[in-house]
Amino acid sequence: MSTNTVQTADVVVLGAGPAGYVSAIRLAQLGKKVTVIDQAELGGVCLNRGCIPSKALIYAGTMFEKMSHANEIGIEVTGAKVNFPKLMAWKETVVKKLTGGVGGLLKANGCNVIAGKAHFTGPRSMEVTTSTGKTTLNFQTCVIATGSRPSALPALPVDNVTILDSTGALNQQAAPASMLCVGGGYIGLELGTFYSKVGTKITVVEAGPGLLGGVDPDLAKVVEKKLRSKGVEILLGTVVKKTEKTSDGKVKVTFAPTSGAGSETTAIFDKILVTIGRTPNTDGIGLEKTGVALDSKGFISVDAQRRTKVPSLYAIGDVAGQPLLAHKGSKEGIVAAEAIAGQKAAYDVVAMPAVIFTDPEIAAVGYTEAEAKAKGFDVMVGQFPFAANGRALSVMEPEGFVKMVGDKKTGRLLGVHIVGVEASNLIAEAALALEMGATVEDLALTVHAHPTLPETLMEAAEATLGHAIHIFQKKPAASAGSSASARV
Amino acid sequence: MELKLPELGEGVHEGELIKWKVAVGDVVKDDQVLCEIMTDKATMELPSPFSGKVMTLNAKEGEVVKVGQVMLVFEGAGAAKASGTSAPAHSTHAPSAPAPLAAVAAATPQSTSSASEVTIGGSVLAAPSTRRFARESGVVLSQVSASGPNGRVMREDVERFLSGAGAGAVAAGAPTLARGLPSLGNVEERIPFRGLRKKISEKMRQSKDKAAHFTYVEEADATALVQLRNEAKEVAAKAGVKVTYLPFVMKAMVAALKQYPTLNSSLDEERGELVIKKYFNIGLSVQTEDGLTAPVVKNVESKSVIQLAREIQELVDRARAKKLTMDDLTGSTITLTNAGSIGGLFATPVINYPEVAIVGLNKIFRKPVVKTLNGVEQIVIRDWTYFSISLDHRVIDGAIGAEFMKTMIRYIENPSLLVLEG
Repeated sequence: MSTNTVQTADVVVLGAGPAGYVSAIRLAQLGKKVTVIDQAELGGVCLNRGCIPSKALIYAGTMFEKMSHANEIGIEVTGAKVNFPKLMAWKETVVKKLTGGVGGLLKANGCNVIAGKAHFTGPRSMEVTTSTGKTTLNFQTCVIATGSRPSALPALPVDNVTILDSTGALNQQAAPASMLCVGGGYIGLELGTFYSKVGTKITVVEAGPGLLGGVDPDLAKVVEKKLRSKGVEILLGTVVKKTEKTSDGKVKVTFAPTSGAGSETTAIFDKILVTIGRTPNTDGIGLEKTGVALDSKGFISVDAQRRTKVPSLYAIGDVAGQPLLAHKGSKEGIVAAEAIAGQKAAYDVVAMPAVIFTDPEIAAVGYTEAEAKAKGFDVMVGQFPFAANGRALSVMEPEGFVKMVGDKKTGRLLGVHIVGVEASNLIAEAALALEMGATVEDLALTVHAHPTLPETLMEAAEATLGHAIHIFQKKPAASAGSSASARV
Repeated sequence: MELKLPELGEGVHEGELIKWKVAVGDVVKDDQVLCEIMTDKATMELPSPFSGKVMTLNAKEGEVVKVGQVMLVFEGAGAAKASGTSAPAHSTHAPSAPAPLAAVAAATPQSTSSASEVTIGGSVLAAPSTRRFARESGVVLSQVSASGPNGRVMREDVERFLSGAGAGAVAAGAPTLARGLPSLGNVEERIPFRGLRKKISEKMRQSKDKAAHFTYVEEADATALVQLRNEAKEVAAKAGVKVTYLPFVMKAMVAALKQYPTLNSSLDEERGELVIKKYFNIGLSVQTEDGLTAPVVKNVESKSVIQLAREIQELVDRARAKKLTMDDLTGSTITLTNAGSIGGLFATPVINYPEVAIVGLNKIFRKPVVKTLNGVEQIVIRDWTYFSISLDHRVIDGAIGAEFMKTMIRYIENPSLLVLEG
């Protein structure tokens, strides 16, 4: 590409993350001439600086921890230690394999991939700056999939040396002796758990009253209990008042109660990880030249087909609003692609599962008990503990439970909330059940293979109806509905 | 701009909307077919008087629309551009490409509304594939009656809705019925009763409700008719016309009707008058793929057999091709139905109300009969047939009907008389 050339495309997909690249492939499948532009790597945050590398590290951390406890089951391991540079290199190979795969798929589908920075010059044109110059790109339609980035706290400027964001935390060459996780959300807890497992002394500071805001508190408490048992310090209702660099390169942090009433405390940390949320990447791309509107939270406003108010522009993924989940972006990518191709696609998702790779894992889909009540449902709730599941016991993972929420009037399944081993994989069944409009009884009546973890879903359904087999429920089935008595 | 249902033909004030041929958001060209409308006479296609984009469809399939009623709202091609923000250069440069995309955009609000109803807390329970099917078919799920467990809308429910069972007045009764039925799997199939089928049902019911039916059957020696027809066949073949028995029977009917004019009439109950028609337009029952229809051969009295044959051939072709015009279907004074091509001894036809008589031509077959030849009784082989006639006894007494039949058969048995008297 030479300087000041002009190119045309049916559709430009701006951003090659899990929303953008999926959309590009579907568009190509539907016969569109697609140009994909990304200023960084294919695969976006998810593959390069998010879901995938963090899962690789968390797997390694869990494996290391299991080795440390292998003596309990008669496996004697001595001298296990974490080689950080090697771990990071392995993590990179996982990332490269996946991003390479994305590149291969885009190429195979005939997409034109440009590594460059795009700036809209109008609703159907943009200027693309690449390493070799500038190109004007005219298009019929553009799918904006620019994603999001970690939100910054002015008081804690990220330098990725001492003060890290999630990206920095995924690229350390050694486990710090101590780390403060600012923000008790899922990103901070996932990474904090990893560092805790590889030997870092972790402190979590959260301004709110509990960890993992938005998650059913019953589930969050299980994770909190486990973290504390592993020596993680958790400061709830607390904010960082100020930080000072110490002469030996550490940070002295002053904490204060969120309410303002109470005394301040101080502590010194090697590193600080700031994970207080994510900010949509709507700036610096010339959006103001297009007429696209942002909502009050800075996300691009879209309709059910993910079209913005400008007919030639669509927005998908993190930039198009909550929840900021890769699979939500991918789904939107497909909907937008099909809409652009003239199909009557619409984003009509019932079940949007969310997974958190804490220890134990949390996964949820549908309404929480509180949400269902707020919606006016006469709810029935049941729980089944992993401690009563043979498989969970035989893999040394007895913590947690499956909680089910149903509508007492119709028997309809309203939500499933899991905290426990493999929760992230178990939630798929619940998502399908919700999407299909299943009743709690449908789950109870479906035979689940033994001995497996998904049996806990069947049993939780039975418990919701008042007659679980592997826990004792005092109340007769006739009065089932209120929370089953089996809690661990 | 609104498109109102135009005049469909003389005396036709309404029609049933059978099928939309366009959808909301479609860009249509002048003269493109918008929908199929069925009147009590014919199904016709409504051509578009405009070029532009369909904004809303204001009538449902299965709905009876009146002349002058708003059928749809459209926007001219120029107006569609207003919503776009693209530079004029784009629209002039590639006018055809952006247009369909814009059309999709227009469809969005509708699909949005249906999509937003599909939530966990919403009342509509349906699998994702069903929801997609409904969306693509333009069906709002909350309007579909559910047959699945716990009120789940199944794909078949959407299909049933689409085929019309859920539309209009039917919607009110159908859901309870559908839900109450046990699941019969593939043992039963429910087919929407509408369009021509519904129209036939109404007409038949009306006829049986109004006319006091009686049927009279007489046999006839068709030997001379068969001979004449065979001769006519060769002559007509040169003119490219296929001659059946029908033109001859029509001629015989007219000759007899002239002598018994009350059979060529209709009863005007409102004014308490019997309307005797001095012209002879014979409706001809024609079986089509969709059902029975009765195109009309006009002024049979003034047409030759060959002319009639040609006209019948054209009418039947048009009927089977669903191309009958309103004119083809109106103005009959009496009807002729031919059951003979399939078989059977004779039929007892239902009067094409408000006519008062319908003649049934039945199978012509070879039969041994006793004939007096040269004063001696002999058994001979003759071409034989039965004629049936159903009459409205309110108007026609049995004796008159029998006399008419006798007269008509006289012309059938002696077709040369048609030349002499007819």
